[in-house]
Amino acid sequence: MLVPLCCLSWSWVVCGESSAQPIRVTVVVILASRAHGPVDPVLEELAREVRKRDPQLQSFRLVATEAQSIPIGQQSRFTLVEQQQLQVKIDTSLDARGRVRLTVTAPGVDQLSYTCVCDKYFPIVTPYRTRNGETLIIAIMVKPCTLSSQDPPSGGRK
Amino acid sequence: MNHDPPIRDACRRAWLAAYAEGQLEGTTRAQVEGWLDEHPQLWAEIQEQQALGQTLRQMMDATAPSDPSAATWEALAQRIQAASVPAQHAAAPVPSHCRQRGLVRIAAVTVASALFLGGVVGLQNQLPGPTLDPPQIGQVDPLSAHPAHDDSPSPPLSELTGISCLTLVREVDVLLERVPHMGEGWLPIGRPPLEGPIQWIHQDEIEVISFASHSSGQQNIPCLVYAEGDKPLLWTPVRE
Repeated sequence: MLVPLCCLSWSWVVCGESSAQPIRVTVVVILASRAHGPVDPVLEELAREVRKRDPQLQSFRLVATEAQSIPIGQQSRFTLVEQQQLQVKIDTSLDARGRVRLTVTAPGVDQLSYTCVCDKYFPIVTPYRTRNGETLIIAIMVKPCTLSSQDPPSGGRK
Repeated sequence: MNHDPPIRDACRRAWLAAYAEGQLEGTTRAQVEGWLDEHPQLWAEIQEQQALGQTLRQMMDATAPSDPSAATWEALAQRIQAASVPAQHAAAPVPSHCRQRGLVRIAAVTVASALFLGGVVGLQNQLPGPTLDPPQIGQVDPLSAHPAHDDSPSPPLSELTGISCLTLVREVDVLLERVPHMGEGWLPIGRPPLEGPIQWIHQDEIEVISFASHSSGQQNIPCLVYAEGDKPLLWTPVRE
């Protein structure tokens, strides 16, 4: 009688642990300018999409990338530019469709809740303008923290 | 009179020095000997060169350190290893990779010491003799100032104290949290936040549940910008 109960409780604990894994949130901070300048090669596709809405944005540069592991139900802040911050809250873990629900608060965005798949970046063009007149763009990506200590790094940009 | 030019004179002295040291063989030796037959006054220079060489060899033998015994090397290795391990960790078991690094360090120090000693001896062998006045044998005793066997204790390895076995982190152990854009050519060590190329989300991969901006105050109005074939993009209005 006790053995099945133990197995059941153990499996529940294991499942609970796996589902409660934190979500790794990666934020890419981008600045776009109307002045002539280069487009970072990794941002060319984003530049094409943004220019459909504002063709005057000429240059796109990567300012920083930041990643944090956020437990389910908790929130964390990411530093953007010029004291601006992005707040990300993980609402739910992976659902049946493999999506994560999160709520973000960014400059010009009081509250945005959405669900998205993992490993894909969702861009947000904020209304914030830097002192140099550059437009702040944020790209957010989530993924479960499935990396183990033995996983090799994928390498940086060369 | 036949005066050799300086370069010829320098060459001549070099040949004579080599002959005096017994370094010439065959045709070259025969040529020098023929030349000495034509100029017997140079035999004095040969003898002077031989005396100088003998004195230099005695000096080198006197100043060269004795070859340490195996026990001495072992004691040195133990001292280096003891100095390499911090005192607070001395009782802890040394990991295998630390031992390996310690042995490598000992071997490196041993090789470096041997090379240093060899270099000193070799340098002394190649010191130019003519610039020095040859000491008169019997008047100057170079051995008295440099005893061959120094029994004084060797200086402590103070420069090695404080060196601990550092366990270096591997690339997979480093998780970079925030990386500023450093331009092309910068490869961070460890897992960078931006792993690989950026893959933008597709329309069917995102669903906006609620949205509120500072200016519009609108609720539950998705303002994703996309037409057919476009990538979803949240465009917030500029504050007026």
